[in-house]
Amino acid sequence: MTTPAIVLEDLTVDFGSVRALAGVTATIAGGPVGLLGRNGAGKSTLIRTLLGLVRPASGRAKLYGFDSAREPLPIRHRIGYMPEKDCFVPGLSGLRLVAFAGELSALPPLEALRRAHEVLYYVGLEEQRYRPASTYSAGMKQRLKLALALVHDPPLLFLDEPTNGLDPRGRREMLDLIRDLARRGKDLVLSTHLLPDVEYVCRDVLMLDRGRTVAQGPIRELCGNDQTIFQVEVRGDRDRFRGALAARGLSPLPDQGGAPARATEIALPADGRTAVLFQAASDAGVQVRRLRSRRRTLEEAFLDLVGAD
Amino acid sequence: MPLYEAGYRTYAGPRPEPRFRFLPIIRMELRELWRLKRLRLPFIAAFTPCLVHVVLLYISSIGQYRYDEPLKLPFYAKYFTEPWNWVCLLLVTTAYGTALIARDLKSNALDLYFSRPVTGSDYVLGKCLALATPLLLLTMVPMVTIWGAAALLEPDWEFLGQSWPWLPKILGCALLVTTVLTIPCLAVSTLSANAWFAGGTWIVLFLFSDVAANLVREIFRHSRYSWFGLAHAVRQTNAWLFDPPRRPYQFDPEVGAGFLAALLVLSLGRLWWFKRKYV
Amino acid sequence: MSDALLEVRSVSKWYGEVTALSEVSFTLGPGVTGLLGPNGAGKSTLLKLAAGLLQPSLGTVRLGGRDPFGSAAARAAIGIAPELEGFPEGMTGLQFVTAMLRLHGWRGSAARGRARKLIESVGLADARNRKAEGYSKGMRQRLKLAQALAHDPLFLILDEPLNGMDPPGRREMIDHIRALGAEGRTVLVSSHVLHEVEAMTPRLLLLNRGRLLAEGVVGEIRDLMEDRPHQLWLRCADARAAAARLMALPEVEALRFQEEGFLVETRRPERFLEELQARAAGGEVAVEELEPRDENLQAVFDYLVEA
Repeated sequence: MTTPAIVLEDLTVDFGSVRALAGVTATIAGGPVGLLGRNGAGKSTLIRTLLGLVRPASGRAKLYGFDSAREPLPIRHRIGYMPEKDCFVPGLSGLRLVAFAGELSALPPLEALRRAHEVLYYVGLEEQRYRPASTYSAGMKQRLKLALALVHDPPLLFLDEPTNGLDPRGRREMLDLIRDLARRGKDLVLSTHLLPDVEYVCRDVLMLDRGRTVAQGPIRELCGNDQTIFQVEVRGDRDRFRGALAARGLSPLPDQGGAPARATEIALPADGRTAVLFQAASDAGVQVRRLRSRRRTLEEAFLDLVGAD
Repeated sequence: MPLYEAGYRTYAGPRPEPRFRFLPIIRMELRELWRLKRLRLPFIAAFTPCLVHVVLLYISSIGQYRYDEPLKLPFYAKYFTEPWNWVCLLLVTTAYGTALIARDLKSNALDLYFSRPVTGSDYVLGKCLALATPLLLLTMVPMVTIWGAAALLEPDWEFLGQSWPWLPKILGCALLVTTVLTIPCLAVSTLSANAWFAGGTWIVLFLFSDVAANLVREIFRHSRYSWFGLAHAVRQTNAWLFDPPRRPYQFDPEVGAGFLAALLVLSLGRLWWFKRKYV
Repeated sequence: MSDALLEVRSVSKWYGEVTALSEVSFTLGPGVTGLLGPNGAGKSTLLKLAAGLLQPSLGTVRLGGRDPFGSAAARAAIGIAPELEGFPEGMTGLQFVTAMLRLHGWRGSAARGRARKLIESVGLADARNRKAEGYSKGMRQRLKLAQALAHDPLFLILDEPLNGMDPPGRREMIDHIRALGAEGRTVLVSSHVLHEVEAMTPRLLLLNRGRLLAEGVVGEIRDLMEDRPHQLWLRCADARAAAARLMALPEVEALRFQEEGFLVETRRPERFLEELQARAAGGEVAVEELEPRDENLQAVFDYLVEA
């Protein structure tokens, strides 16, 4: 259909003697993608390569069909980059800063100013926009960086640790903003260590480790949604519950590290009904508190794939 | 009646391909310079001698006292290197010029610049022009004002007719001084993220060359070896290019010009090396 | 035993006219406790008071019965890993920890040996001879922890200990902190990342605007919030029919369709769940998924802070 947002073809990038990316091949079609990896896995090298700040040793990184090594400027027109560290020109107010960024992105000065107002309003900084950016709190600075990434209305956003330093409410507001942008059709790459953020916002993930692709695809697939195995949490005597299950011909799986602490896992036959679980619970005099099919959290999937060495 | 979207709006306005991508940088820096009150003092101070000269010209035109310095070309050739003006230029370059790039290095603003469609050359060129503009103003405007006052206050048009070709030479002097100050100053600015360090280094280089050159002149009682003083080289080169055959100093003007050229090449090299990191 | 108790009684602290903390009282025993609150709630002030770096304007702070402010003996029992980083220039990780140990009285080879063990215990063994300034963010966090543990303190105060670490590192750090609590130390951890605090401990202190809003275990806190109906999310085979049946229950205050299922609000969750279980067992309602949506820390936090 349309050109996929990012295409990496056997991308190899060296930093001096260190091979930061080694033959990475991946396609990011669009809809929000989480970019995951340990520190040093190559995530920041990837964005720097896409922005054209680093030349690949071999292979290609393409954004909407533009090759990063040969046409970096059109790429930068189409990316909104929200870096992890602050990047503000000292002394400028939030408004002036965003307008300046807009002008640098080839918006005419008056349009850039108007757009700056609009975007600052959207991210929730309309009351602080005339104050110097250096006086902003951590949460405001993160929003300001988002505004900087949005001012030229790019089709792709690359967000590096957008919830850094935010308190729980600020985190949720930022994630809701990001989800809203995804809903409005922006292509999104979210690079963060906070895996629940990725689960909240993204549909797909791309996992890197030591410069290589380790996994790529929808989170659902990665985490698995094993329809036949159920996790049940009950209030009451668990052993009696297990006994009642056995009495009804079901064998609960042995306790593994994977399941949450108080959950019991049971395999049901393919067309099995969960009614039998409730019946067993009533038999045992316990109360079912939680029921769902077995799935891993993204963190578990990540640790399995990448490992902790 | 349509309901308007309260949330995110896309941008549907024009995106013209800009002719010069560095223009926003110049605009921004100049606007910030204008807002910075502490730099107004050196600017005002730089114009003070100009006012003094104009007043003296006026007095001489109405009275007995004859003030005809500004009626001679050498006056303009050495205008900037007069101590007062030279110090003002030093102040402006130190307070404004050395922080231009150092400040961005410290605050990581380069991430902002280079995630935009702006190349390293645009960045450096923008900063250069942002520094050159006020310097050019400081050099050209006073001189042209004095010349204009001199021409207007003369009883006849003879002076004007005779000194008309001086204007390009004045411009040339101003450009020379501006270039010689802008490019090395910016090169020093790229050396460190600490604006104080960059400013300090610049002052030291600036003054060192002049102080040492003057010292050499005193010791040897002639100025054959003082070509490495910035003010000396500039003055000699100005005189050589625009007002031959005057020679305020005894060293070969080619040597002085060569020194300035070497300084420029070195600085340009540093700036080129700096911008190489950013496409 | 009062050795490991952190007792804060009616503490208020203001800076000039600005109140940072107002009438805060609690007691912490051995184990891990999470300190939560929005930015500006007074958490860093509280941490500094507990560490003996500040004196309260009113009230008392006692660690193991002693006032940490101005008492080197009391402070010898406290280990702090602050949010900001300041490592002396030029030192390697190992040298830094050794220097910290020397400050606490260790000498010579004992200091070096212990420093080595500490460095290994936080997973920095490979990097111990590299300069501390060159460490990545995650490595610095580990180094701060090693430094805080140097003198084997009974009290540990950790401010955002997982900041900047990648997922495996976070997991390790969480496990390490839990182990420290299990050893009998009194550990106070301040963090904004709620699910990680939940992974470390069920015990919390919640601050907002300088006041203590809640103290205790998530579940209990939730139960105390009687004015908030509980939210239970259900996914059933035939959603509409199931919802219609459940709506007949008097316990259901509100029902809203959401995602692939529906959300039930009730002030009597126990009764509702009993009724649900009866109907599910009887086959009237085919439940595929049942999830209490607001018994987690994020929901409790939101309720308490926004009020």
